[in-house]
Amino acid sequence: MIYVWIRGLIARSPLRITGATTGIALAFALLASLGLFLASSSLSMTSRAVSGVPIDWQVEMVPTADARTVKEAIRKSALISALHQVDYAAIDGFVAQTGGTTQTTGPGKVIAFDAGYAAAFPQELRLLAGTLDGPLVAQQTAANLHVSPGDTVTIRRPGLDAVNVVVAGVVDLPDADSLFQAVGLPRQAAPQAPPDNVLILPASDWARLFSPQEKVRPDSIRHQFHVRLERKQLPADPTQAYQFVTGAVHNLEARVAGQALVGDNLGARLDAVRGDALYARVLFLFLGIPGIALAAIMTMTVTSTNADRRRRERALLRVRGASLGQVVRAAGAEAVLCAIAGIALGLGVTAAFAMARGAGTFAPDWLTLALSCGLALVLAFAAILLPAIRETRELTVMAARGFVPKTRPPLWERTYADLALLVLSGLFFWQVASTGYQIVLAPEGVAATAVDYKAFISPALFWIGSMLLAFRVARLIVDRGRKAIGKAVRPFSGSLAPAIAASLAHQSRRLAFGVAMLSLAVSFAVSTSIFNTTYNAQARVDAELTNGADVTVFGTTNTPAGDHLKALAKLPGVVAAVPMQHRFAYVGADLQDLFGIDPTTIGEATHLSDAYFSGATAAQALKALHTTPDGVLVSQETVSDFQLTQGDTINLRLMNAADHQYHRVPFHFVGVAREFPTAPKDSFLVANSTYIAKITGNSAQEYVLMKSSGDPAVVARSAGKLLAGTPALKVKDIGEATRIIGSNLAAVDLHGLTRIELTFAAIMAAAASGLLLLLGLFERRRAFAVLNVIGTRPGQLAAFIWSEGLLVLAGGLFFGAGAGLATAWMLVKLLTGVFDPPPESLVWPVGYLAIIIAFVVASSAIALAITSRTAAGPSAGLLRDT
Amino acid sequence: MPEPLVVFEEVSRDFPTGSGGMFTALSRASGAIETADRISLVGPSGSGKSTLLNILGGLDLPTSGKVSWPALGARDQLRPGKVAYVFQASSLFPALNGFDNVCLPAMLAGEETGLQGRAKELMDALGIADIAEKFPDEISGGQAQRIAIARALLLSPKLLLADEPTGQLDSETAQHVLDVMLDTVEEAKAALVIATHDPIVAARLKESWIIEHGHLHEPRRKTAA
Repeated sequence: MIYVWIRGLIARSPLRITGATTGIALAFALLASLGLFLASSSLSMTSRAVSGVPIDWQVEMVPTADARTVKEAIRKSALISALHQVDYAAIDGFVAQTGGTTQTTGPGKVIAFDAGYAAAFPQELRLLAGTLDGPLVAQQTAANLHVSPGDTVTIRRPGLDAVNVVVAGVVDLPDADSLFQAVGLPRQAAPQAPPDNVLILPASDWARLFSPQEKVRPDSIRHQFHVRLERKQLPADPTQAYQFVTGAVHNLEARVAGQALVGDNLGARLDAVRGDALYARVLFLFLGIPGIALAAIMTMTVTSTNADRRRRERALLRVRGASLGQVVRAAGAEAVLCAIAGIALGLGVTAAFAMARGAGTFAPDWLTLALSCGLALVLAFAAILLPAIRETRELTVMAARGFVPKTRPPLWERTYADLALLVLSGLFFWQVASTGYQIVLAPEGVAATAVDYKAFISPALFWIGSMLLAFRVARLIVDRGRKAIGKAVRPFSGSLAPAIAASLAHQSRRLAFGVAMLSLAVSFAVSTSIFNTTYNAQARVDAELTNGADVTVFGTTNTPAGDHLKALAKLPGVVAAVPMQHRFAYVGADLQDLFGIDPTTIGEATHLSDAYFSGATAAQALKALHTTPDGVLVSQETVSDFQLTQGDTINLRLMNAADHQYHRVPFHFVGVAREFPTAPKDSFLVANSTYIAKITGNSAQEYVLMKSSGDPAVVARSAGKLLAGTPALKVKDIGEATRIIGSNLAAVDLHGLTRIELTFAAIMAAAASGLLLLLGLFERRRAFAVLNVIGTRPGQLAAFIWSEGLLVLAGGLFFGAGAGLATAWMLVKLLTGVFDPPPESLVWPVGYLAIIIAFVVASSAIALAITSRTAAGPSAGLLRDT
Repeated sequence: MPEPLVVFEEVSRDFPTGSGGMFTALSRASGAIETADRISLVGPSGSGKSTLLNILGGLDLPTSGKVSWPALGARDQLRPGKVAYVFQASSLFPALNGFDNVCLPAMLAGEETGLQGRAKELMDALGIADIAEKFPDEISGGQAQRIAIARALLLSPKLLLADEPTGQLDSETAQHVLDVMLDTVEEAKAALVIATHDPIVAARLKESWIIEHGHLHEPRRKTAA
C-alpha cells in the first residue's frame, strides 16, 4: 500500500512533493553551508592568527643560567622550528659628530643576533640604507644622531670606556615592541615602550665589546633565546591552540625553573584571538540561526498550504478501510520521501555553493552534515507526519473529511503575546545595552572563555514579536478596513470591489499569515544586509585608520615621501594625494608620535570619522586646528595624564633641524583626538604642518596619503614601481592593512558568512513571496474555477488574484523593512564592542536591497500572472472533484 | 420561428489518459436546444453527461464537431447572464457569504444594486434566507447547493444547465427546489437541461436524452410534462 501511495503522490501531486522538498532542501543547504563555512573558517583561524607573530617565545636567562641546559629544555617542551640567541646590553647613550655638530642621546641598547637569525625571523629587521654586514643603527636613532652609513657612533658603556663603531646600515625594527619587551612581567603590567636608541652589532663584535661590561655590570646584560614553534602541531581551534601553547610554556617553565623566564608571545596572540573565535560563533548565532529558523518556518508553511488536502486524503484512506497505523505509515513514507529528496537537493545546492564561493572542493564536515540531515528529517516529520498522528488521535473520520474552520483567535493573539514580547525585548535590550557589557568574555591569561548569551534574548524576542505584530496589524487592517480596501481596489475591479473586499476580509487570517511570512523573510534580508554592510564599512574604516588612507607611502624625516608628492598624485587611479608629517615630540618625559597636517586638505585623501574625536565632530576639530596655527590635538590618555583643559598651553620638545637637539615649543591644546590615521592607539599628537615646519626648521613631509578611485592594490603597485629606487619608502594599501588587523573582529572572515547569508536571504524572500503565493493560490484553484464558470472575465479574475497578492506584497515589504531596520540597529548596538571605531550610523546596502525588492516583486508578479492565467483557463473539471 | 439556443453537430470530446492514450468521453453527438425546452439528460456514471453539459454551456470545447449558440451569441458572451450552470458538487466561492455568493453574477455583470431584491426573493423561495450571512464552510451540502441554484437563477438565464442539482437534497426539498427552478425558467422563457440519475427528476421534464458510453441516443420527446 505504501508503494502505491507514494507512486500516486509522485504522479498526481508533484507540486506538493516539490514544495515540501524545496523547503527542506533550503533549510538543509543553509545550515550545511553555514556549518561548513564555520568549520573551514575555524580550521584556518589559528594559522591566520599566528602568522603575524614574529617570535613565538622569548626565553630570557638569569645571569647564572647554563645556556645549553636552557636550550635543551626548550627543545623538549615542544616541537621547535627555530631557536636563536639574542644578546642585549644596556648602555648610557650614543654620541655622534656630524656636520659640525655633536648629537648625544639618552640611554639605549646595543643588541646582537646570532648567525641565521635574520633568516629565521625575517620580520625583525628591515634594511633602509647601507648594508646588513656590520653595525646597524635603528631608524629613529639614526634620526636622533643624524648619522648615515659610514658615520661613526660612540657607545657610552656603563662602567667602561666609550667605544666607536662605524655604521654599516640603517634599519627599521618593525617588531621593536616585542623585541625589547621586558620578559617576566605580569600580564597586567603596563606595556614597556621600546628604547628610543638602538644599535645592532654582529655577534662577535658584541661579545668583544660587552663581555667586559657583563663582568662589571652584569645587571646591564641580558641573553634571550628567540623561539619559533613548529606550527603544524598547533590545534586548528584558537582556544585549543591557546591551551596547547600555555601547557607547553608551563612545561618549559617547570624545566627551567630558576634559570630562565619565558615571554609567551604566541600564547598572548592566541589569547587575544580566542575572542575572535567566539565572535565567529556569536555572528553565526546572530546571523545564521534566524535564517535557519526562517527556512524551517517556510518549509512548514509550504507544507501547510495543502494541509487540508492531505487531511482529506488521509480521511479517505480511513473511510476505505485503512487502519490508523497504515495511515500514519503512509504519511511517514511521504515525510521520508520529502526528507530524502530534500537532503539530496540540499547537498547539491551546498556543494554548488561551496564551489561558487571559491572553496575549491566540497570538504564535508560530518557533524554539520549530520545536524543538517537531522534538521531535514525533523522538518519533514513535523510538517507531514505529526499532523497525521494528531488527526488519528483527535479527529473522527467525518470531522477529518470536512473543513475545519478556525473561528477563535489563537492564544497568543488573545493574550497580546506579540506586544508583551516586544516590550520584553525592549527591556532586555535596554538592560544589556545600557551597562557597557562585553558580549564575548575571554579574559587575558584565563583559559576559560564565555559568551554572554543573554544578549541573544532581546533580538530573538523582537524577531518573534515583530512577526506576530505584523500578523495582528495586517489582520486588523484587512478585517476592519473593508470599506477602505473596497475603495482602493475599485479602480481596477469596478463593481467587484465589494466582493473583493469581502473576500479579503474573510481570508484575513490567511492573508495576515502571508504578510507575516513575507515580512519575516524581508526583515531577515534587510537586517542581515544592513548589519553586514555596516560591519564591512566599519572594517574598512578600521583598515583605513591603520593604513592612513587607501594607499599610504611611509617615509622618514631623512627620506620623506612628500618629496615624491607630485609624481604620486599623477599616478593612474589616484584621486587625491595629501602629504602628512610624522615626527616625534616629548610630552614631559614621554616620547609621542606627532602628526603634522593641513586641516583643510587632509580630508581629501582620508576619511576622518566623527568617532575619531571627543567632544567635537571631525569638522569642528579640524576647524579648531586650522584657526589656531599653534594648536594641537591631544590623545585622551595625555589629557588625563597631564590634567589638561582646552586652551592650555602645552610645551612639547621637538627636534630642530639646525642643531639636531630637542627644543621646547609651546602649543595650544584645542581638542581631543581618540584615533587618527596611522596613529598608534595609546598616545599621539596632531598639529598644523606649517607650524611644525616653521619651528623645527624642517618642512619634510614624511608620509603621503592617497585616495584611489579603483583597486588600491593596483595604485600601491604603481607607487611601489615609482619609488623602487628609494627602499626607505614603504608603500602599503588598505587591503594589506585589513589582512594585518587581527586583534579585533576583522580576523573573523565575515565575507564568506555574508555571501551565504545574503544569497539565502534573497532566495527566501523570493520564495516567501512567489512560492508561497503560488502554492496558496494553487490550493485555491477550485475557488477560482467557481468564479470562472459563473462568468468572471479574465480581467475580473485577475482583480481578485492580484488584490490578494498586492496586499501581501505591500504588507510584507512594509513590515519587513521596518522590522529589518530595527533588528539591524539592535544587532549593531549589541555588537558595538566589536566595531573599532564604533559606527556613526547604519550603512544601507542600496544595491542589495533594490535587488531584494526586485526579487520579491518579480517572484510575486510571476506567481500572480501564472495563477491568473491558469484560473482563466478551462476549469469545469475542477468542480467535479469532491 | 425563433432561432435555437444551442446547436451541436457531430461533437466529440477526447481526454488524455494517464497511460498516454486518449479516452473518448463524448462521441459524435448532435442535437439542438430550443427556447422553453425541458430536457433531462439521463445515463449511467461516466457516460458523458457532464462533458456534454460543459460543451453546451461553453465551459469546454469539443475535440471535433461544431457547437454554436445562434440565439445567444458568441461563446465568450454566454456567462454571466445568458447561460447559467449548477454543478453537482459544491461550487460556492468560499470567501463570500451566502448572499454575496448569490449576488456574485450580478456584480460580475455590473448590475449589483438592482438585483439584490431578486436575490433575496430567490433565497426566500429556496428556503435559504436564514443562511444568507453564513459562509460555505458553515453550511450543509444541501444548503450550499440551493445557494448555487439561487445564484444560477439570479440573472434569469436563457439556458440553465444543471448537473445532478438535487443529488445532495432530500426528496421533499428536491421536489421543492425543482419547482422553483421550473417556475423561474418558465418566467424567463428559458430552456432547462438537467443531467440526472433520478427518474423522478427526469419525469418532471418534457424531454429525455439518453447517453451511454459517450453516445447520445436520438432525442426522444415525451407526450406530457
